[in-house]
Amino acid sequence: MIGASGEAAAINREQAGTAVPFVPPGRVLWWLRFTYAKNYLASWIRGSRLRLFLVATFALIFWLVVFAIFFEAFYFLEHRVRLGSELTAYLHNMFFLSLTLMLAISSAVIGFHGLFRSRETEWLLQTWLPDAYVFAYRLQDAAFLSSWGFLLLASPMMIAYGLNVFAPWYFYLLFPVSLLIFVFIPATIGVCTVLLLVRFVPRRAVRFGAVSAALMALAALVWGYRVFMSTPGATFSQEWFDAVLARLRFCQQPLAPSFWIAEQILALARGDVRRFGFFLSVVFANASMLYVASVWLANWTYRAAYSRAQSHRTRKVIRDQGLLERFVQRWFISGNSPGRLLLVKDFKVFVRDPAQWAQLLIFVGLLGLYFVNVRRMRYEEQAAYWRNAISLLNLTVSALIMATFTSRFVFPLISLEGKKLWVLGLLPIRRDTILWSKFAYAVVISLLASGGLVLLSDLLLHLAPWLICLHLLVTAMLCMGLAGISVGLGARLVDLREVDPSRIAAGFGGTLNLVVSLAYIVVMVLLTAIPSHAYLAGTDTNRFYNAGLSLDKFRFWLAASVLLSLVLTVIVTYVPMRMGIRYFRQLEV
Amino acid sequence: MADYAIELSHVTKMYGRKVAVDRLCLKIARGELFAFLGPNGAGKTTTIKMICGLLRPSSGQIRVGGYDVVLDGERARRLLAYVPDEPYLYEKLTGREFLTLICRLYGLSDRIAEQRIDHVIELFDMASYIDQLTETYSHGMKQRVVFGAALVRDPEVLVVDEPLVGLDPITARLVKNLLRQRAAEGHTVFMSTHTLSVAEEIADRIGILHAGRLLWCGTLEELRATRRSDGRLEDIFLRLIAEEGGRLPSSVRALVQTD
Repeated sequence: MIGASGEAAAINREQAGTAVPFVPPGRVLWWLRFTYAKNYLASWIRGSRLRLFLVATFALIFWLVVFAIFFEAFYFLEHRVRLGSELTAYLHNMFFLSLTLMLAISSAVIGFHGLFRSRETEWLLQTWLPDAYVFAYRLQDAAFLSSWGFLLLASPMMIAYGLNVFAPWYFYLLFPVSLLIFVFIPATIGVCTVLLLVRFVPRRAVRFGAVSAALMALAALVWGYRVFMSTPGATFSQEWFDAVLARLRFCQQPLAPSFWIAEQILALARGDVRRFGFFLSVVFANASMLYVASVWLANWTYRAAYSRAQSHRTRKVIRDQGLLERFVQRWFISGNSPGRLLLVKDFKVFVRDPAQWAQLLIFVGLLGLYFVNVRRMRYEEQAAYWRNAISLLNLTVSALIMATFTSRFVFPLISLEGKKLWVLGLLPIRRDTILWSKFAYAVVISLLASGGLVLLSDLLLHLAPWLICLHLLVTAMLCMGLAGISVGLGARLVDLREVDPSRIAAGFGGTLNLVVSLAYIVVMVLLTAIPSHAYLAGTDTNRFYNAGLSLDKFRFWLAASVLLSLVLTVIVTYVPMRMGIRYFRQLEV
Repeated sequence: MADYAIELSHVTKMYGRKVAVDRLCLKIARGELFAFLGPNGAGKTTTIKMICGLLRPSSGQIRVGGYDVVLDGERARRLLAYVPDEPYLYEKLTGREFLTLICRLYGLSDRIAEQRIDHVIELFDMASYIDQLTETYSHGMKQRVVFGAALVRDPEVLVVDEPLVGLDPITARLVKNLLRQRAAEGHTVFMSTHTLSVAEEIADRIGILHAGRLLWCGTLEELRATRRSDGRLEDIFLRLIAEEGGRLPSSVRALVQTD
């Protein structure tokens, strides 16, 4: 028997007395991380070569597109704009200031989940590991998870900048090191703030603080918008530039970490090694100091904070539907047929899952804000073909957001039924109804969001009523098609073992769903754009010398394109749904 | 060396205004197999989490092996292994890698770790799947690995929440024998369960918790003598809960009253 020798018990007693580990725990945790990552990568590669190829290809395309945009932007600023270098320095400061704030916030959110809600953390905390090690482990995770996107975005930007200013070769080697050290400053600040809030601040005060912070952020957005709108002079004019530079001066505070990293990058690009070394030391010293201080803080607060977080979970009693639920049920899904009842169930899950509606709300809100800002460019005073082009671009962005929504939240719906699928399977309804109810759910939500956005954009651009109707028709078709693709493929490529929706969306099926959705959007927008743009461009005879379509030809091609869009929508709705339904009918629960 | 393996002195735990555990006093001796019983929401898991250091008591003191779990948590937790009702495993580690992680974490040398790991693999008949990623395991397979992980470092105190959930009859028998054997070897087992027949079969002493309060603590024979009943533990338990105002479905209450 294991304990018969008494050897292990002796080790336990001895170690309990001395608390000196045989292997340093930090090294064991690194071994764990390394082994886990190695296995994860191996199983990911083994899982599907096609998936790997698709992900690598799209990552490369994304990287190249971002690089091209930044390269053109820096070229424009450095070579075409007076005071371009000065403006570039301001832009670096603004970029890093925004990123510092975003990284601190995202690290706080990820850190909260990692420190207080993760099952792994619960497991680690019931081992003998000192609290500081568990905290440091989670802090490193939060820093990594919140910043990999930043590093992915920053690398094409930095390389584009380096190439434009003819930076020395060591710029390309050293900027990743600078960024890597820098991310620990906002990450530590974010995670420590969460730790202190959970440990010391009453929950009501935290809620009050969160609401206040959200209101302050909104006020800052409104202020920024008003400042932008009230900047004197025409956009990109000399007067406008001078005013913008004067207003951006606030982001160059010498005590701000964003200033240190911006100065590092700018000095490195110029080959000013002394100044780069100085600011690298400043960042390194501050990141190290913050890291050590946070671990010290965690040693005497973390476990108490963890206990406090677990002791305040309230079980909310839900007796009545919310206002939004009642509104949607009354106007969109009234009735008691089985399909409608399933739709009500899915909608309730949506409303009660902040991860879903909050992400959609953020995207839609940001896009709405951008549409409102379009007025600053005075597009409504431009020619009709130009306004139509801008409107179609807005429609495309709205459709892309809907594709993100359907890929992230609709595609995993059937897989997420998982172990509960037998409940649906035993209901006295046809399985087809289950899928059609999910299709209706996706159409209702995406139509409400994207229809509103497209209408807002078209009204602000003062488009002709027939164009607004056309764009709304295309939006409705896009919502149907995207819903059909996501529900159909979600059922055909169902994964009942996975419980994490983000993993389902990031898996092969999710990636394929996104690719098909993107291809569909591109074809649909082109079908709409080509005839209307050709006709409207033709009305601007000064510029296009009657190169566009005549009214008669335009009517014919518009009818043809609408018909083709309709046929395409029916195909992309019907084919995946048919595939999904056939597979789902035979699925053994 | 401390007299008791686990000691709870006037332990209270509040969730907001709700009292989850109410002035609980309990002493578990070394070499004892203690069964902790109670209906859902009685405070069993909260008590276990406090013993493991995951929750802090609102008042009172908890000691494991003589070490205060709040003031001297690292030393207390070193003596203790916890098997939860829902096993946690790293899905991208194999069962063997998980066992190796435990051995390294608790400072066992590679040689001893290898011997121990081989031993628990054989003991729980895990050879056929131990080198596969744990994400492919069934609940029962995971539970066996978690038991193996708890035993591989031979802890002085073993805390088990619902030990037999998801186990097949053979493994369930094995686990029951193991728990009994550990107690016989002088280790302490603190077991929370709803399976009253298991408590009846293997426990040295039984504690019955209801609404955070300890209703009864003693041996099964003492319980029977006090309740003047020679019936099954299940009947005594239900009657005790009913007398304390516990909510029983009317059909069960009628049966208890008939008995």
